[in-house]
Amino acid sequence: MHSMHQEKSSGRFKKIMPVFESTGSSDPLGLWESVLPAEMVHFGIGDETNFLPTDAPIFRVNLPSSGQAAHEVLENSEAYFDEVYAALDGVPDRLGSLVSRMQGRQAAEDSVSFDAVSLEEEPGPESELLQLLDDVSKNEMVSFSVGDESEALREPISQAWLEARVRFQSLLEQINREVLHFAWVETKLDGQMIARSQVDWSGDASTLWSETASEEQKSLHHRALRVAARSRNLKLRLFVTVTGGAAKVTTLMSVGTPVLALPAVYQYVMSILKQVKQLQSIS
Amino acid sequence: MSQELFLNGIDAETGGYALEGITTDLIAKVARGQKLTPEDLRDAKLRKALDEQKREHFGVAEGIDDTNLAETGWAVIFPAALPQKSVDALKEALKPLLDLRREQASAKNETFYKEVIGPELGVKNGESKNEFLKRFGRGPGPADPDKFPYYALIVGSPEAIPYTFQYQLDVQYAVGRIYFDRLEYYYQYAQSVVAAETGNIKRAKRAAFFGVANPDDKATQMSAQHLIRPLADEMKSQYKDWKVDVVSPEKATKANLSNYMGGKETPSLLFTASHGMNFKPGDPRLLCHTGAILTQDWPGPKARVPIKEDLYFSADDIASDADVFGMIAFIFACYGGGIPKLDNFYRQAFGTAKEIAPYAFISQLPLKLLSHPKGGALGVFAHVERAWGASIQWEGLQNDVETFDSTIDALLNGKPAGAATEYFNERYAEISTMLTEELDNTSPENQDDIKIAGMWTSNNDARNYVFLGDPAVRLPVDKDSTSAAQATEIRETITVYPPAVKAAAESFQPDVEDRTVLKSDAPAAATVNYALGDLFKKSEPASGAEAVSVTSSGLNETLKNFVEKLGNTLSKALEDAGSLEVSTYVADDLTEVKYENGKYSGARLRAMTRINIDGDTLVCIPEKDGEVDTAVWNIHLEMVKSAQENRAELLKTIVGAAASVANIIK
Repeated sequence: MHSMHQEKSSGRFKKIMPVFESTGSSDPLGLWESVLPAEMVHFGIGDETNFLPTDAPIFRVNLPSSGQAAHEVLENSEAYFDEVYAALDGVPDRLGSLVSRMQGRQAAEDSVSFDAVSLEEEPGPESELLQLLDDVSKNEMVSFSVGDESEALREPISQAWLEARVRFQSLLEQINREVLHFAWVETKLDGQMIARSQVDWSGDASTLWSETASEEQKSLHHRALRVAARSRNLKLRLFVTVTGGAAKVTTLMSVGTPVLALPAVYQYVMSILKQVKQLQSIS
Repeated sequence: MSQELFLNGIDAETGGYALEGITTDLIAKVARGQKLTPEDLRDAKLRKALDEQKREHFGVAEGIDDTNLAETGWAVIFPAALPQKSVDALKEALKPLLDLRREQASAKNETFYKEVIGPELGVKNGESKNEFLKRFGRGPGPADPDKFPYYALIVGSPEAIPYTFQYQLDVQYAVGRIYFDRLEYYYQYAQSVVAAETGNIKRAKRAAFFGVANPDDKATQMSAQHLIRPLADEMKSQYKDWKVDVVSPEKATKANLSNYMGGKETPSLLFTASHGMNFKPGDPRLLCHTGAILTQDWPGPKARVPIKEDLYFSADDIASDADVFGMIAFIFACYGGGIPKLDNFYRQAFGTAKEIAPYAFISQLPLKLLSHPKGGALGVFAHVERAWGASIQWEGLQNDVETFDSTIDALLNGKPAGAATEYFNERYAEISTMLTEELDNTSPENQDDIKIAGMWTSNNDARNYVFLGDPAVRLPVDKDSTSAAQATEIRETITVYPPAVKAAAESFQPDVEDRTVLKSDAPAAATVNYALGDLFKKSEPASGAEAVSVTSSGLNETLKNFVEKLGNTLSKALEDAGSLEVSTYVADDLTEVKYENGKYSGARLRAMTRINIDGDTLVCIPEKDGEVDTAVWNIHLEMVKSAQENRAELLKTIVGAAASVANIIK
């Protein structure tokens, strides 16, 4: 999804810039390219290090100077988000179907584990999910419960589950940092800042416009703001989808709690979103 | 039909009234559920009967001159549970005052001076006024100094000796209270009273009436017009030898109030009428700024602006070199005198207790005036809890201010403050009995809510006025004030502490319970935690802003932190939900613009919209050459629309997230 264009600085093009960049960590939705604050200062204008609070995430949209091209970039991102929303909306049904299928097979085969044959019959994301859930079940952590400090003392369920857990934890941290705190949203056209907004999570907004900004430029920043806002909301939607999914698939685990299923379901949802991204790239 | 009532308290956070939506039918409901106890009703009826017989000397027995301490007696009352070390320290600090009152009160009969101190004599925990007086052989009725003195100074916090005890004792006695958290302040107050009572400090005959009338605010407009104005006019016409300043609303600013509270215009008698500040539990300003005077600088309730310190006058605004020595002040404002721990009105109206303060306390503004190191004020007459506009009106009558007027008359005529304020006790006793009779003699369906609500609020108002200071002080006025040189000399003595006071000051525990920890632990901002974090009870609370390392901590820990933050955000959502604000700035050069204190500096604010939850909308429209700047306006409107949509969507999602977490960890 990342797209690049050249930024003009001091009268000449000097570096390839990502269109959507942010000071947040890697974006699970794949829109915003993570950059270090120091790097943003380098490509920013004036003394932004002094201007912006360092603890607030910054979302910067670097658009091409052509109005039409800029709008196209934003339209593409909005279309992508629509598809992400649709994909997330479809997750509960997809998981519900999976649970039904697995329970049906389980009843028929009187088996407590997911054998290789049954895993192969499922599409990619579902197969991966079942494998991770099976890892949890096989670990026999029957005494594990939420808030149990003994977690750290136990062996990891599996390397795959551990990696998924790290990614899920990363999502929670991002939401804490980017969604629950206020953020800055900036729009640049061909390297020139046209507007900057401070957006409180609750909706309060304060926008600074360039006196010379045209109607079209204002419209572009407004759209960029909307992209940033949807992006923040989508991360929460992602979390809700994962937790809802974890509750659904717990029945497929012979032991453990929904909390243990969270990394597995997160991995599953990310796999689905990856497919969406691939589809979007093709189109 | 229900009517809305006016009260004088403002919530700092919202800029709205401290308790909005109070209507007459609600108050009538409270009044019906809060009839006087048989004991209190008996006191009130007795007091009313006595008042009808004689009006010269209210609270004392026949034949006793209530201005002469040798006839009335004087007592100091401590909490029984106060540690002995604190008792000893207090007696040292108050020694100048105690010595003076002993000399005055025991001139004819040494038993007329009483120190009601220690585990046996002091006010016991939970003791009622009647139980207390019974120990001294006294029942209801006028004060009999053979049994218990008429003037009584309570030395203790309203936690150790509750406000309700003070109210009830005050019905027949002249009661005042002091309570400071530092021993030196007791000494400073004692020295100030002694200097005034012994004639060493005299102030000129000068009074000031400071009346705030904020825009769109009926309460203060009523107090300015129907309280301040008639009182000042009456005084001007009756007391020609007094210089009377009437500070009109437009001049009733914070800056100007400092002129009257320690500045060059400070009178001997100051009367202020305004809103008093109210803060939510947890707000760091609750303990230090409750009851502060909201001045004319406040743009009124419609502005809905959070109230910062530049809009109100608090104890912090009393200058270190202020000249309030010998002054007596009357502060008409909600919480001007103090605040109880629990909101009595709320409990009666809604059936559950609501904590409005970590503990009952006296407001800091009067305490700062009383204990000023350059000579303190002698007393402050102020209101505990809410002050109601109904006290100025009685059944629709405007200017029903005879109670206030008579109190001022008494003070100007040299009566001790405790006796001068008896008019409020008389009013309380009278309305209490009327209200009780009204409730007893009519069935609820035949009762007039408006009438009952008016009586209840007037009754509460009269009851909840307290005198802070020694009730035996008088206005130390003369034709000429003490010379500057002499006054300076005396002021310097206020902080010359005796060695025993100095030695005890450092480890002084002012109250039965040490609350210094509570004070220092006051949270930095008002937060109502949704307690989602309680789902993880085995873990420590989250620290707040720091994200948890992905490598050092387990999933549970991360999830727990996330949930706690989510809970805090939901709590904040509730607080922020009252308004939505969108601002639009423009600048020629964005690189020159800074963002400071929530605003862009170096940029021009061209449009602003604030939408309140009640539908009130404040809009600042951009102009260009005298016309609406449609270019800026259109994009601003788009931003407002987006902000509304964004808030709704995000809030919905956060609630969904909270619900989903609860679902998987239940």
